[in-house]
Amino acid sequence: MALGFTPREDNVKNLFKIAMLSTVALLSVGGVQAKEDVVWWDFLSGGDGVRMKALIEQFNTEHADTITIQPTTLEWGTPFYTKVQTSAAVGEGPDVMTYHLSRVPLGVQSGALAEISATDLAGVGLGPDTFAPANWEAGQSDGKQYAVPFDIHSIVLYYNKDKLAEAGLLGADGLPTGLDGADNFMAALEKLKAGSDIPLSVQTSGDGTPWRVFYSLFNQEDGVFLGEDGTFFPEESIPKAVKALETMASWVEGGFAPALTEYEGSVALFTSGESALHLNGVWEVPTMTDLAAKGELGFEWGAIAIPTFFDHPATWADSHGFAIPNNVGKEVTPEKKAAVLEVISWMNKNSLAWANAGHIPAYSPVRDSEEFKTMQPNATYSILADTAVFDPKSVLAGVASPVYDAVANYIAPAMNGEMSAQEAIDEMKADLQDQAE
Amino acid sequence: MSDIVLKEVSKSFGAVSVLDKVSMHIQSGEFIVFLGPSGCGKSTLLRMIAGLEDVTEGEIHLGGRRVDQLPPNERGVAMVFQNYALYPHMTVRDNMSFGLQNVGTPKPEIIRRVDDAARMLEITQLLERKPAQLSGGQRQRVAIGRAIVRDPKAFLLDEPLSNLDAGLRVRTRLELAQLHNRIRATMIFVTHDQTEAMTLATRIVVMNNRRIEQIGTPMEIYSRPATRFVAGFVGSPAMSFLPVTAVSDVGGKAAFSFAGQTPVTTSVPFAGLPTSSLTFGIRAEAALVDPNGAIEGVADVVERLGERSLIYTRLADGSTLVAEDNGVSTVQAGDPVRIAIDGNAAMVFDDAGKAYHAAA
Amino acid sequence: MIRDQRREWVAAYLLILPFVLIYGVLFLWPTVQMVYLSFTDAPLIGPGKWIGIENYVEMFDDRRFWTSVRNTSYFVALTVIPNTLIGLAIAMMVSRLKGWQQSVILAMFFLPYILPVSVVYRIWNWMFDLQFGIMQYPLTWIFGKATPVFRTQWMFMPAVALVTIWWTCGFNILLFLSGLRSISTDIYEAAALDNASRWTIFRRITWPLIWPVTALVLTIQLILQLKIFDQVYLFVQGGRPDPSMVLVQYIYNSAFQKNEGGYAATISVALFVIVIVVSVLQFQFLRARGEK
Repeated sequence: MALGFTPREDNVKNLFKIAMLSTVALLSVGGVQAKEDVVWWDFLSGGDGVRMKALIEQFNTEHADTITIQPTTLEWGTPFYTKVQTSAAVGEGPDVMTYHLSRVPLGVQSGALAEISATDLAGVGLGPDTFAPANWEAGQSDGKQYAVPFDIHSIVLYYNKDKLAEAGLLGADGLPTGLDGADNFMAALEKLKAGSDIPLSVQTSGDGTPWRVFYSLFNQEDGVFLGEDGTFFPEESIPKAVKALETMASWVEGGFAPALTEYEGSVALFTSGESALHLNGVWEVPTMTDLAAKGELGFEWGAIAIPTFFDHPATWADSHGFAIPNNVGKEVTPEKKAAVLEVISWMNKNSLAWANAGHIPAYSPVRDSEEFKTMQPNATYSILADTAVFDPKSVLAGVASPVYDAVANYIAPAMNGEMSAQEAIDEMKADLQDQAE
Repeated sequence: MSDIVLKEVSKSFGAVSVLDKVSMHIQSGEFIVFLGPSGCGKSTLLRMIAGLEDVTEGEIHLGGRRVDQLPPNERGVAMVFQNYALYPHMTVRDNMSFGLQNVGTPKPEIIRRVDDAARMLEITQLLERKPAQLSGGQRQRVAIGRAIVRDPKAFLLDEPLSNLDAGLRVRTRLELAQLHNRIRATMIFVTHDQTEAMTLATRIVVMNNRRIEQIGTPMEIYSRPATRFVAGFVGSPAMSFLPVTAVSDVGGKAAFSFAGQTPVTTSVPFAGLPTSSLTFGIRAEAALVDPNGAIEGVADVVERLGERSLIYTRLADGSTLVAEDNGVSTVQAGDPVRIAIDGNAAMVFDDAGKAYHAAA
Repeated sequence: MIRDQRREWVAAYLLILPFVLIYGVLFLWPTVQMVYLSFTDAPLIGPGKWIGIENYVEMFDDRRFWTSVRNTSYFVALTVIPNTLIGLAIAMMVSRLKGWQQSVILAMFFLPYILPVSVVYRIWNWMFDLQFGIMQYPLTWIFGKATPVFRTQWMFMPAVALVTIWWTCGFNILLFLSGLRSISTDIYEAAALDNASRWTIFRRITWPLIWPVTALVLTIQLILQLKIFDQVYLFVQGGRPDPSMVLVQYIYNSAFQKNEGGYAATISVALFVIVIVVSVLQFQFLRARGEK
């Protein structure tokens, strides 16, 4: 036994030596080039993801000698944010990541985000004056900056030109007309019913679109979702919420919108030419553009800001931004910090390409540029940048939050008539209040 | 009436034939033993009578009724398995009651019959135990008791003694014989042990290689075996077989020469014998060591059994003749011996194995 | 002799040491930590402040907790006994087959068990799909219209239970089959001669003799199904999570979505206690039955 052991031990030692040598060799190669690697996480898939990958490639080409972004795409929603939080806690998070600004309060509370100093940002030309004020502040918590906005994205009303023309709902300018006001909208749906079984395609199961539509309609009535004192749906806002929700429910009840339909199904209803109207986020613009380009859509499409159902225009909005995780026990070198800031700044300055994904650039110089102002369909609905209402600032709100869950539990069922609007708002209020305490 | 008739019963598993046209008639109340080496088909035949194996060809009649297509429970037979097959989770009483419960026998009747059987088999004190708490012999009695309570037309016993140790086996054998005397039921008993067969059977069915070699009473089987196989299989020590070199007619009786010895005159009639390829057969008790004997040879091995001695004698042509001497034989291995053969007890076999005996 | 005995002790301790260490590090210590956490207001990651039994007080007053307890119990009721009985029934049918036929049929029943839960989810979500699902044919026939099974409250748990049974019963079949094989054929032959009908053979022979395996399967199932999470979590995606919330899902939500590590630990302790109490009770009950 002893005889057999010694040679084997030598083998192990030799292998170890080889491994050590090759590691040193690799390290020295990296050292010579003095290139900084930036580990990047995002949650962007689909049409968004394709465009972001193109941007990253362009960045890497332009910075061939200095910085390389190493991108990884993770699953959107709770999985992404859980992974960020847990990996940051053990110092294994990325160097930079995409982040929903609506999620910043929870991110800060859970200690997942690192502060980005104003000086550092100013160093790469980013600051309060280069973004819309509400947008810039959405990245803050207690006056400190934790995320830099990248875009504003919202929901819009996609429409099938052919079907609208048929129903006489297309104005002289080629844009839809006669949709403003809840009653007018309903009348329009009735006209459209002649040309399609389900004239309005909207997601009616789960969270997402139901929340975005509800929050838009609610804000068109100046409803308050979360009062200053921490009350959800303060007393005077309850009837407004009920009214908004009843309007949404009437679409399904009247047979104009599909019951119990999930996100993908709602998109398919529109792209297949079945529905004349479709309520969804601007991020589906690439889907339409790409299908139209391939000649697979089969109809003329357009998108406008969502109609004003009640008192004044208002549209739910959120922002994709960039944030730096609070990697515990991991020192950020000045070189790394500079590289990350360069990534954030470059992305914003080149965000016109990102606007191709339907989004509105957050960086004001790009948004104000001539190129963006003529970009379609973005320009048609760019008005919503001014009427945007962001998610309530609460640790319970934001993407994949308890508020989103509450939407799936109360708003969506009420849309399908599984409970009354009054019941849904009362229970949602009680539930969220319960969770806040 | 519970006689059992088998008519040309055959069995094959796929292309492999295990029984070939077996026929017999078993009288009511008989104790029949199926005797044969392993693989001769005797257990299969028993299981076919029980209904546990289907019949490929032929008919089985039980008490005048054709049963070969009936399920086991409708044949009215009881079986004692080699491993007893007691229900391990039931008490002895439940094991014995199970069959009666299934035919809806009234409860008091079940209790009475189980108690009677238990008394007969002396297992009354075991009735509330489970099989795991019993010894091998006790389990064996329970298995028999389970058969008895059902009062079957026939008892089928598949090597029931083979799992018992030697002493217990002899005792149980005796008890089985007594039991049969008492209840007078038809019993079929499968074994490869010739002593069990000889001691228990009213008739023995000797089986070999898929067929019946001979059916007869134990003494018929022993003294007038129908074939060379039966002659060799039954009896201890085994019969000596010696190749015959010449046959002559001595007043109608045949005289045989073998191994260059003086011809032995027997009671076998000369007429009808084939003239070649014969084998001479003689049991040890008919070949006695005798200084005046006609046969000569050299003692190879001497076995002293107490009441007698067996002398394994090598003859001139190298064949062996087992002879008997008294218990205090002075013959030693290597000694020349002379042997006297009782020609009346001799028999011969032709090359097909058929036996020729003295006229009955 | 004494020396030898001491050496044996040393060897024995050395041999069990790795297991004791792994058990301690991977089970005992985390369990102790979990109980400790349940008395704090810790977030998902990092320490928290000691708040005594506040979490427990909150839990007993928590609507969602009780909903989860109810749903978990309902799911257990829908799966444990049916899954065991179906497993036994299929095993008895399979055991009647011989040779390659038995292997093929057994493999077909066992196949779902090796699938990951995500694949199971995809298969059944597709089968129940409102537009394209094959299950819509019978559903339309029964209800008169296409039915979104996983979006219809009263159908949700039974449907998930059905999928779970389809997914896991192969393993139970395997356990039962090995149990059935260990019953000697002699006993069945004896029973056949004893005039026992099929039903009597099952009731008085097979069932009592297979009981130890049945008890094992029941216990495994009970513990497994009390910990139900994946299937419910996946099938509820895009629907209403609350009405069908189960305990582990609520733990997941509290910890990972709401960042309430302490409260999640409290519910975990509750589940831990439920599992222990229920399985000890069941074990006692099953043993009592077995001895009867």
